[in-house]
Amino acid sequence: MLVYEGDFLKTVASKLMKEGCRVYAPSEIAYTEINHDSQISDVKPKKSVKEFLFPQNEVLIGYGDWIEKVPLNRERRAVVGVKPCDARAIKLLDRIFLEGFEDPYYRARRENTIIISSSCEPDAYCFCESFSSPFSEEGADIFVSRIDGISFVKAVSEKGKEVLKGFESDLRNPTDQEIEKFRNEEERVRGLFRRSVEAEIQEKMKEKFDSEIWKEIAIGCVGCGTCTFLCPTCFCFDMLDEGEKKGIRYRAWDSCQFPLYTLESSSHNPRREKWQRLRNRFYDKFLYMVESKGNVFCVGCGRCISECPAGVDIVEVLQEVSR
Amino acid sequence: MIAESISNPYLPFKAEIIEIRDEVKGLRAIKTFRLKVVDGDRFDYKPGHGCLVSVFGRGESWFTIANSPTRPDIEFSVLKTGKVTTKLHEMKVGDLVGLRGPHGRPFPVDEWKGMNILTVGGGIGQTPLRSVYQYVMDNYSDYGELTVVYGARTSKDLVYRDELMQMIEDGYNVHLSIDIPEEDWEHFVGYVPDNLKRLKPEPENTIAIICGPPIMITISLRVLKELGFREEQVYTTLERRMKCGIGKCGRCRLESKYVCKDGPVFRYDELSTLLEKA
Amino acid sequence: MDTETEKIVRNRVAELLNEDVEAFVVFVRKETEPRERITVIKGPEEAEKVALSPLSVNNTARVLLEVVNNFDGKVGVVAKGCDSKAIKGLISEGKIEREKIHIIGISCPGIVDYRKLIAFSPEDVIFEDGKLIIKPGDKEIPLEEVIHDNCRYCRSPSPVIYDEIYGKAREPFDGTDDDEIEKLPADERWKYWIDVFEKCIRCYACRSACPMCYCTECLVDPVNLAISPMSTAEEKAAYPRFLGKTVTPADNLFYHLIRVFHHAGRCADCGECERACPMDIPLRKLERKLQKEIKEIFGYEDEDIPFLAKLDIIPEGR
Repeated sequence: MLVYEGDFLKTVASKLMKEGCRVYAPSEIAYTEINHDSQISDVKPKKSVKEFLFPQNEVLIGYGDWIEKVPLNRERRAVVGVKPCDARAIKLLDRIFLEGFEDPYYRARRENTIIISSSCEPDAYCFCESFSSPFSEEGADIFVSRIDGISFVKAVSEKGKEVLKGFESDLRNPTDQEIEKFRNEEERVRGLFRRSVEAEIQEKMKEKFDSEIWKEIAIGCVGCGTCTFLCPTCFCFDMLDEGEKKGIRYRAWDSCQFPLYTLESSSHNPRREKWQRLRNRFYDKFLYMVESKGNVFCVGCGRCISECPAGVDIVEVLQEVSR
Repeated sequence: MIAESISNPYLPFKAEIIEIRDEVKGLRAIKTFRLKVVDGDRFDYKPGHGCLVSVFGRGESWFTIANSPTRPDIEFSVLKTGKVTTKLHEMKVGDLVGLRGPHGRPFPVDEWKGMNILTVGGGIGQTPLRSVYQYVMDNYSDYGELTVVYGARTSKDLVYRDELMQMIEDGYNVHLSIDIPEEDWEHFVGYVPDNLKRLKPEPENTIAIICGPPIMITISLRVLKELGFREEQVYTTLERRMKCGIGKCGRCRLESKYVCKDGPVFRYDELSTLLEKA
Repeated sequence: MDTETEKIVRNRVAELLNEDVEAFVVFVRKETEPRERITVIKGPEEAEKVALSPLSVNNTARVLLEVVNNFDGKVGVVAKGCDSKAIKGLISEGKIEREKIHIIGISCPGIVDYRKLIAFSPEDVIFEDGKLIIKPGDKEIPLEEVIHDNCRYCRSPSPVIYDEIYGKAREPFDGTDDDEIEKLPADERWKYWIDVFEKCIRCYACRSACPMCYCTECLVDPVNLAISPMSTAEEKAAYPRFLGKTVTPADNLFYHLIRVFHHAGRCADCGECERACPMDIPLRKLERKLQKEIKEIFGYEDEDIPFLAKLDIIPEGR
């Protein structure tokens, strides 16, 4: 960890913009493109950073008589002020898209996107503390924490170290007091969380699979895709062709909450009922992914709670499960 | 294209339709397509492997390969049921389709050496089983006795009918059945599990493979258990709505397993621990 | 709606569940934030958890429609003005039988944007006499300050159909429903809407939350959800795909305009679409504009027969 006198997010954003790199920063709706460092805000965007690596629509193949084009996006981009929960989610997405068959579209974007995360304070919906911390550097290329006018800066990946080259003279080792200041701040923020979940809930979940609670919770659920689309770790997608003779084969975000997701051509649907689909989301994140990848696929960003039209609340649901 | 397809698993390689056979006619028509890979060598596969057949403009569908790797070319038997399959049924010899695969976990045919093989099929579910019994027939010295149990609603709905009749003539253990009685039908009348009950296959040193409609699979498994088969001796191959075929897109997941990557072949003891019964 | 109305309703729900009502669509409080959610209760002993306040934001008609046929007997429902409008619409469209339901009508003072209250814990927020009281420090906030914008345009805060009625309604809106956007020149309006629809992620929260969007078969779905084992391959292959899953401003606009047009003369004005939207798209502007046009062009407003059915009636002398 090094120290920069001033706001390092602004400095690094300006430098990257000067180099011709497109720079994005948090805004109310999404991480959006900025053209000046004054546009960097601290809000938690409603859309997570996943769309930079796994956009809602991505063309896989352009076809005519046969494959005509395979567009891989290698544009250099930087996202600054990424929330640590969002950055951590990238680590989890890597496990899906880069393990086994490597996904070349994801890989191309991943290699060319610089993630500069910034420590943050929880809002009423946050619970990242249950898995990690708002000071986590996981998934970032550079981690920044701005405290009392100075920035603590750490290059986390090789890509991050590359970016920090050229800042050597402005970065110095922290003093003992500064290290203490960082620890104190981390401690203070830790105390601000109002929500938490039990991450090691897998055995309880197995017991509760056939419980009536799922039907009760699903009554209010409207069955939309908001929770899954806004989730930084949800990765399911559909593949479609557009154009009969000439066109594109593209992928698009899909959601296990939609009945069409599992509907088979025979009309058989393994998850016909809304409550089965609702249950699937919780089991996927807290049991199935733990069994297959060893990770809970939730980073505690709270978006599925704050944006749910019906007040379905993952924290309350998991509390109900552990009861 | 093959080299590129290996680095980009979403790119299909080119295959030409070299033969089309009508298996079943009517509303639920089934055709068998014989394909030759155009831009490269034929790929290696094992019985049970699946492929995504791609028709640009319509999409892709997952099929298990219908013939044994010991036979020439690659065959798929396709039931006309949706957008892609309707288009395939309209295609002619010489037309091109895309292929991605082979994907998934095939039948462990090497582990089964020295054992008796029993296939239990219903309707279009005979497809992956055909790959298995052809493989066993072509490597007969490696295996014990082969028994093929197969049924469909009517004699006209039997896939590979002529082939199976020829196998009977050649002295193979093939036991056919139809659900509804017909004149001139010399074989069993009744459901596949009933035929199984009647035949009483010996569980000793035997591997059973079931494939067909869900209800047939469930009841056949029950019958086999009554006959003394353990779940570890029984295999099946599953179908789910699939898109990517490479363990990413998520829709074919059975809890922690992907049907396209960890299946489609499963041993029954792997399925009986699942929470979700579908 | 205040603590007094909540008590009355709670008692009535318990009484009715002891009588001929089998299940009740009601609100209950959330544990972790000042917000309520809809649930269905079946026994009178469950009535003690019934909540009713300006935080009872969702439209109960959607849940009523979903569960009403799961029960042999009567199903009760707590309905605000807009909820009752949706129920009335669903009855006139033959989706719900009037005799099958018991409506506790609630005259509504307006509902609150819960996002404005997330700083507080649920037990600290109390509603009394049209005021919101935050317990620590007894801070009073007039309801008007935190109310949903949509409620300011509400023409029927009192239920239009009910079996019994409680509460005190706000003054109905009586002005002309002009929107700032309407006054802009065409090219600026176009730019406004394209920018708005650029944000849409097609999560279909608007469609799913809407009590009047009940079709199984929707034209924005790439395959038909209403297939059966009897559907033929040709039928399925020929199913038209009006929209794929391309999330472009043009496709998003297509989706939203078609959706709104399907609500011509049917919208309950509850604002669920706009509240459900995670991308803050002002969907009510479209719905209100359409209701206005329907009234101006066809003279149709809140009638007992559906709008399209009215157009079907051949005038005398033709």
